[in-house]
Amino acid sequence: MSRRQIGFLVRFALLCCIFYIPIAIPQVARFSVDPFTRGLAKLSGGALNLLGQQVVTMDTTIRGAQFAVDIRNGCNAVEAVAFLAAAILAFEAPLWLRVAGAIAGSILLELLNVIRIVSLYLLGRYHRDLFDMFHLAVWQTVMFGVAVLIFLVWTSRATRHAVASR
Amino acid sequence: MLWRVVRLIAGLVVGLALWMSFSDVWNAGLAAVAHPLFKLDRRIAESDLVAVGHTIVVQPTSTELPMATLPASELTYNVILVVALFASNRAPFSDRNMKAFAITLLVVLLLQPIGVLISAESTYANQQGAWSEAHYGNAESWIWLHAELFYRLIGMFGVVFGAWWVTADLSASPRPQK
Repeated sequence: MSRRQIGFLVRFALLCCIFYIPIAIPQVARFSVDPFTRGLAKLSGGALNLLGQQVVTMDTTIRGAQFAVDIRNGCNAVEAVAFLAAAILAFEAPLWLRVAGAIAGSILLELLNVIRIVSLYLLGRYHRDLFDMFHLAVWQTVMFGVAVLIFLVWTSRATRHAVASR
Repeated sequence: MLWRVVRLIAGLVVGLALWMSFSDVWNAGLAAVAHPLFKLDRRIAESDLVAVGHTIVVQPTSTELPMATLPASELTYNVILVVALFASNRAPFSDRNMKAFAITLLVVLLLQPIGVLISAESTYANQQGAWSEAHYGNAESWIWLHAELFYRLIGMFGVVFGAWWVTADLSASPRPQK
């Protein structure tokens, strides 16, 4: 393992820990993660209503006549965003490129997360037998897999940019 | 990049199929491997671990320790990401990629028993009512709770990514000339 790789891994691990703070400390979560999760629930509820599902969003819960989902940590993709932001910010590249990459990547992940919530609601309502598998294994793996793909796309562009600016 | 995405999705499907097929069998092995780690903490040392479906049940061998159920499958599904990431690499069946895959898989599998221990400590520190209060302080309960949350939310995937990233060089580096 090269020194650069070790440096990247150490920075990545440290940033993962730092980005975990908003999830871990309730006083911080109250002003950061919680309002974000409520907004995400509203957005997902709106998307479900567009699909004709007639749901009501209350706090972090999306409720229909036959099924309801409560969005909590692990379902709001904050952990996948923290993971992606940590990886991008740990990579050796110009600061503005890292910040732009982290922001753009996070937005993409959260858009994907709206699809996840909508699909889980629909699975819960129409295919309850598949809900647990998709909720636990499929979507969580997809979120991190996509986070890695976004990181790979970003690193290839960041490397190209670094070569071009030499 | 498109082919990489296709390979990743194929890897995800294969990984999911493998995990679903062998999860219960794997949990039995995981329980056996994790059991010696429980001897590190006297409070939970007097116990047996028994795999029951998707869970591992901590069965007390003393009368004092309460029984606990651990969500074993929720601690092991990061292997799906391992398969997906290595399937996404160029030439996924090459010797070098398979070697890197084996190393990463070994790292991930060695960490899983530690994940079981962390989950057990968190469960006993926070979910056993009066027993928890009698045996764990507030700070310790908080630490175990967040150790488990961190591991399950970020850590178990961070380890996969870190190991894959490091071994990616191994799987992509040119073959030495003879």
